[in-house]
Amino acid sequence: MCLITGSIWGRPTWGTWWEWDGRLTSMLVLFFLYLGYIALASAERERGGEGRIAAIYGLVGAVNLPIIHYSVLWWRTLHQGESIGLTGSTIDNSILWPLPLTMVGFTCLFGAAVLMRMRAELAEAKVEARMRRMGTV
Amino acid sequence: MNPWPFVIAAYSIAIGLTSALLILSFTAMRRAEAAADMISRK
Repeated sequence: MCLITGSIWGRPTWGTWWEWDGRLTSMLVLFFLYLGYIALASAERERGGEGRIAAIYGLVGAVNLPIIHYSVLWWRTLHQGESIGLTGSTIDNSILWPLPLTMVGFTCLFGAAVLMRMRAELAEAKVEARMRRMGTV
Repeated sequence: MNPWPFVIAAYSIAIGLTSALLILSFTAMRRAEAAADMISRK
């Protein structure tokens, strides 16, 4: 979603849909790492594994996060530098104040999605345990 | 360049995909809990 909406935003702002600059490319790498994680986790689950390999892969993939963060400082290409720093912000006040609001809103939505997935996982585990018990009786 | 078509497109994708994620999570949760309730009543 970030890559698609960022590309749409980039067209009127930068005059291009895509540019191989540091931030965009590191975000694309994160997307492929995430796809790999999903594939690895589901393959491991099918084989009845504990998810240890997927967890290690997730930890190794997290190395990309500081690269994304510092990419605008390390490679000064098309993407603008950091907008909010310790000394202040370069964002106009009219769009600065909605930023924390949307961050809180999306964090709540993310929390709600995680809680719903956890409840589904717990219910599925309950069904599986019950079926196993019924099978052994 | 008129930015509004791009703004509308970006918001539509963000709202659409976020809603789809939440609706799918909610239906998956309800389905799993209904199955768990049914099996515990047996």
